[in-house]
Parts: sequence; structure tokens; C-alpha cells
Amino acid sequence: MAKLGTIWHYATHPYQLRAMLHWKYLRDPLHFRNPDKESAELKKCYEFLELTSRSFASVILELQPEMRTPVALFYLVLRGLDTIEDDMTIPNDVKIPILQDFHKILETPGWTFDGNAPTEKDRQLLVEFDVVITEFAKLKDVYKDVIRDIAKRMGEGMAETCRGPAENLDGLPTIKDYDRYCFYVAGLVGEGLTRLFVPAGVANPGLLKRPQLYISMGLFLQKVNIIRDFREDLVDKRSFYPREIWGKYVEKYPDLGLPENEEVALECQSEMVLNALDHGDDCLYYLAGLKDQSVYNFCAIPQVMAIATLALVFRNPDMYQRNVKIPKGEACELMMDVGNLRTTCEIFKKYIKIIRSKNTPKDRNFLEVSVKCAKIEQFIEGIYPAKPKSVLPSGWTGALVFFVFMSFMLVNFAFLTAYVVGMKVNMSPDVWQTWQFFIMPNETTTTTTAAAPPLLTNTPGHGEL
Amino acid sequence: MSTVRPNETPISNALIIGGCGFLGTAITHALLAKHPSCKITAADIRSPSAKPSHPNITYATVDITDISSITALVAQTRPTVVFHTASPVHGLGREIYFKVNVDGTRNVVDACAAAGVKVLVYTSSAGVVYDGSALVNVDERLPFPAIPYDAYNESKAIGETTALDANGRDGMLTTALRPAGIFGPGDRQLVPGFITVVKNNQTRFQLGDNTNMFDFTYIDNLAVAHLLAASVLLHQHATTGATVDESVDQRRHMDGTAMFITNGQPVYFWDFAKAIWCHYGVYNAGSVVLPATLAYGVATLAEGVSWLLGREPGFTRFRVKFSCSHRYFDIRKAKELLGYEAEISLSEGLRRCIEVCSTNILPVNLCMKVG
Repeated sequence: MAKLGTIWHYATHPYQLRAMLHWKYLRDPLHFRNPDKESAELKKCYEFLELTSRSFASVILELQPEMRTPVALFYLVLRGLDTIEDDMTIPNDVKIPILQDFHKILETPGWTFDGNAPTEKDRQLLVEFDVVITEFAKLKDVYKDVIRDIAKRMGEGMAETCRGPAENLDGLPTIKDYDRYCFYVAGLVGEGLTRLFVPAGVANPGLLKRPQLYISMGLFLQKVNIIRDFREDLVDKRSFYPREIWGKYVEKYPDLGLPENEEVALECQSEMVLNALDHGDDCLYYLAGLKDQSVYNFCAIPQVMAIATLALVFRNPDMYQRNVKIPKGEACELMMDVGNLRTTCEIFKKYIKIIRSKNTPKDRNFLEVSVKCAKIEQFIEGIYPAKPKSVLPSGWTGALVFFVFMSFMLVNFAFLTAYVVGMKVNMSPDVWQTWQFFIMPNETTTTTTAAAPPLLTNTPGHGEL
Repeated sequence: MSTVRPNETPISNALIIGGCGFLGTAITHALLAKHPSCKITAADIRSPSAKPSHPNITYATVDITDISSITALVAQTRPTVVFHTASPVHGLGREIYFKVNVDGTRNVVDACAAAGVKVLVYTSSAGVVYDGSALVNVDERLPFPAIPYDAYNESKAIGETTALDANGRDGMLTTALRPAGIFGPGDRQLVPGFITVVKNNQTRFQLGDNTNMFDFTYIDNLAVAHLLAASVLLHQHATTGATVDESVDQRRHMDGTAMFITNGQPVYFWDFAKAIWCHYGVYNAGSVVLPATLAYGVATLAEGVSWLLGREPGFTRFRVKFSCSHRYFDIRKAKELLGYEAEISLSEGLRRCIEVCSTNILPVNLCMKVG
């Protein structure tokens, strides 16, 4: 049945199908790797990149050469940290020191770790982590410092989380805690990337002076994932929704998934979406500061996926029951369309419209959601003012159309009456000429003036026709 | 002084002209809350029916169209800050608008400058830039329209210019605030207007596609903006004085310039309406969408018919235009120069407003019936 649904989807969304085929077969990537010039270790690192990341690998591989390796290694370092933090089979007395000292590990040639559970999907990365360390050592010092600093702070943040209970079905206590958690796992990534981009000259240095922007970049992605992964996290006995939000709607967190709570769960969901949407305009602002197309794509693609996902989950009860995802074709369409800031803004507007179409006054967050959508639209209007639609205000056009229509009806009606009554309409030449003025497009045209006299002579009333 | 931020400069003695009106009352309350030691004079054309008594408040009557009346009041109370909020309600004649907004403002300006008032804050209106077409994210760079939309807005624009031109006269600093879509408990126009639609059972109609954004201002936020403006100008008065250099971008300084004030939360027009109506149990509002162009034609017809029958038309072209076009502002100037942020959000403001409106206007049983 799922197959049938997919066929139906692409039958009704041919553009997405086209985008998918185009993306796969016809597109030229912006930049290529040249594996012949790479060391064996670096090749191995790229292999790991493709193994560990579904979505990020393709955009990282297309980054311009100067940025590609630092960003790829940054990703692998964070993935390594994540793999240790996620593994519940590692006891805390082993886990916490590793997390806290991860920045030192990056300076320890030959360090590997095989303490992960065999089921941990990225365990191989840590088993052969020495290749990452070898390549890390070859990076420019500016890049190394940034990656090390972020690894240190993220490791500390993760260690703190690990000290908490392993199973948590209460979510995070407050919205502040939620933001803090998202900062450690995602906001820091935004900071690190910006600090890599600026020295390389691919981003406006002003971005470093506005931490709120790069933090929002990370928080937006993370929050969208947290909202969408409700069911998946619940199965893993984890929860990240802040109690400050879900506590308004249900007594116990898992109750959000119960069918009888559907209405309140949807309201909780819209408040979560509202909270995430708050970062939307900051993300667009950040993107305006990027100077290189490959870097732009790298940053913008995840953002448009996030807004599309947000539109998909908004007031969607399915999200509480299963893992909802945007269709592959839609993802390809987004990757193809992301282009530049203007087209990205168009994409945002498109999904804002979808969110608005699902917004309902029944929801207690109705007005807040509407305000937030308008806020993003106002921001876009600020950078790309829309052209006025027409010279005449639409109302006047309407009145004009209406007036012209009524005049024609009146004239038709008059002639029709004359015809029915059989009345002879005798027009004086003067009147006829006035009438002619209306039907002749151009009085200077010689043919019309030539044709006028014979018409004038036998100007019968419609009664004789 | 250095520890006090400019927008927190204490106000010691304030005169509020129009002090018993909708905005004047809100300013009085805001002053009591934020500047507890301020001596307040609330002056209005008539003395209020119910005076909230407070040792800091004095009530006075004044007729600003009479120069001697306002001069006497200013001389007697010796305020450092004057808030000029008085303005006739809509629907009166051109003559009264000009008498109060133009002549009255000139009298206020003259009296204040002569008496050594430090700061004059004039309450203008966002309508001064309205020419009948859409206002899309406009800021203070937009000039007055060549042809004013109506006599009211024309008189407000002249009044604003009078107040702003007086900047620097005898050291007095002036500014003008242009609020848009004021609402709040006690408001007699905006929210009650929407509630009437519920009463008339017309909520199912939506004009236009609801993509047009609208700005509203909760009354208490506007009052706070007035206080911030006065404080910033008092600080400027004590430090640099009036900005005389004309080359300075008018978006960089407040004195002698106007600024838009809204909640900073533009919202889609019909969403705002629906948010009000859902308080009355109407959740399916806007199920019948009339395209703006069609609605405009129908309104023209309705106006024609009403004219023939000699009745007041209920459905007018103005209404169609009003509810189908953008009308929102860029208030970054106020945010940057005043440090202004709306303390009361749109939804919270609406909730407070409806609490009052429901008890005053709609009998409960009617709410039930509509729901």
C-alpha cells in the first residue's frame, strides 16, 4: 500500500519526480573531490563521512576545496562524540571522562575506542578514529583551534546531560533548558562552522558579531528534529519537549501519543512549532552573510528541509504515531531550488503559506502562529520588497471592470429591447459618429473612415435586420 | 546619572493633554507605575466623571483651541514634559479637526515653548502617510501623500509638522509618535467593530485572500512608548540639546522627527478577526471567500443602492479596501532609539480587551446563540 501511495504522490507531483531524476542523473556538482591527491587516511575519512551521514555527506562533498576537509573532519569529530554519548551500554565512569577530554584526544595520535555496543551503527568510526586524528593534525591551526574548542565545550555539555537520568520521560524542565540543550548539541555547531567560514573568507565577518544568528541556525534544525522525532524518542525512552510546554496540555508526557488526546496534542505540537519558527528570520539573516555558493548550499539546504518538515508536522496527528518525513522528491526539489537567498526566501514563504493554511482558530496558539508567520514574511519583505501588483489599486480595477461590464449590458439590453419591440432606431449622423468612436479602435485608420460613409447611408434600426 | 539608561530618565512633572481620554488614561497609569514620584496633571476639555484619586494626580480642564486657557494651565503647573494626546474622534467635521489638531496644537506648542517646557511628545497617527493605497512595511522615510486621504489625516499631518517644527525653540525638544490600529480595554472602535460582525452573524464572509498584513497597537504599549520617548528626550535635553545639523539621517535621532509605534507584530487581517471571533465560539469564520475585486464591485453597488434609498451603507468600498490591503510598518526606529518592545503581546492584549468587551457589549446569552 505504501508503494501505491508513493506512485500516487509522484503522479500528482510531477515536478518532484522531475527534480528527483534531475538531481540523480543530470546535475553537475559545484566541486569534486580528487581522490588521487588524497592520503589513504583522508580517503578513509571520506568513506566514514558517507557511512555515518545520510544527508550531510552530499553537501559536504560539494563544498569548495578549502572548506571541504575541515568541515568533513569537524563533522566526524562531532559524530564521534555523539556516538559515545548516545551509547547507553557505556558506563558513565568510562563515558564522562572521554566526553570531557575529547579535545585532548584529538591531539593523541593513534587513539581508538572499541567500547561501543556492537549494535551502535557508527562504532567503526571510533574503532578507526586514528585516521581522523592523523588528518586533523594536518589542518591549518585556525581550523584546529576552532574544532578543538567546540569539541571541548560540546563534550562538557554532553557530560552534564549524561549525569542526569538515563531514561527520561518528562522532557526537559523549562524552555530555557530546552534552548540550552539545543545550544550544546546544535548551536555550537553553528558557531564552529561560522568560525571556520570567516577566516576562509567565505562568510561575512559580521556574522561572528551576531551570535544569535548562528545559534538560531543550529537551534532551528535541532528543534525541528526534536518535534518530528516524538515517536522515535518515545520508543527509546527519551524526551526533549520542555515540560513548560507539554505540561499545559497533558498530565504525563507519553499521553501526547494517545488517540483520545489528539486535539490537545495538536495544540502542544503547534506551540512547539511556534517556538521553532521563532528562529526562522534569523536563519535567513544568517544566510545573507554567506559569500560562496557551495557554502551557501551547505547551510541553506538543511534550513529549507527544516521549514518543509515543520510545515509537514504542523497540526499533523500522524507525527505522534509514526516517523513522518518529507518525500524524497520534495527534498530533491528543495535542493535544486535553494539557489540563492531570494529563492530560499520564496521557499520559506511557500511553507509559511502551508502552515497558515493548516492554522485554525480552534487552536489556542492560532494568533501567535499567525504573528510568527507574518514576522518572517515581514523580514523577507524588508530584504526583497515585493513590487506593487498593479498601477491601479485592485478595488478601482474591480469597480472599472464592473462599470464597463454594466455599460455593455446596458447597451446590449437597449438594442435587444429595440429588436424585440421592433423599433426603428434612427441615429443622426452626429450620434452615429460618436458611437463609431467607441467601436473603431483608431480613428486615423484610413479603412475605417473609408468604410464609414456607406455604413452611414444605410444605418438602419435593428428592427430591419 | 551615568547608571541610568537614557530611556529610563526619570520624569518629574508631566502634563497630559487629553488626560482623560483612552490614551491619556493609559499614560497616567503607566506614569504612576514607572515614574512613581512624578507629579501628573491630567487635563481634558471636560472633567472626568469618575476620577481615580491618587496624591500624584491633579485633574484640570483646558480648551486647547483657546490660547489663554492652555497658557494659564502650563504656567500654573510648570511641567517639564507635556504629552499632547488630545484629538477629536473620527466622524466629526473638517472644521473641528482643523480647529483642534492644527490650531490647538499650535497653541500647545506656543504655550509650552514660552513656559520653558523641556519635552513635548505629540501623538500623531499612522494615518498621516495613508493615501488610500497599501502600506507595505513602510518606515519614516515615506513622505506625507500629495493628496491627503481625508480631512482628519490632513489635520493630523499639519499638527504633527507644527509640533516637530517647534523642535529646538527655546530649548524645547519635540517628537511625534504615529500609532497604528490602537486597541485595548475601553476601546470603542476597533475590537467592538469586529464584535459587531459576530452580532450580525456575518463572520462567514472573508473579503480577499487573507494575505494582507495589518499592524495593531495595544494601548498600554503605546503609553509606555510615550514615556520612553519623553525619557530619551529629557536625557538629550540634559546632554546635547536639539539636533540642529540637518544632514543627520532623520532615522538616527528622535527630536524634530516622527516615528511609527505599533505592537511590532503585524498579522494577517482576517486572522486577527478570527482570533477575536473564536472568543465568541465562532471557529469556522471565513468559510465564504469573496475575491477583493468582486467585493469591491458589490460594495460599489451597495453604496449606490444605499444612496438611492437614502440609508447609511453597511458595506462600503472603504471597508473592502481596508480589509484587503496591507497596512503594516517597520518600527525599527522606535526599537533602536527608544529601546521599545511591546510588553503586552497581541494575543494577551486581545484577551484583556475581550474580557472587558464581553461584559460590556455582548450579553452572554447572545454569545451562546452565536456559538
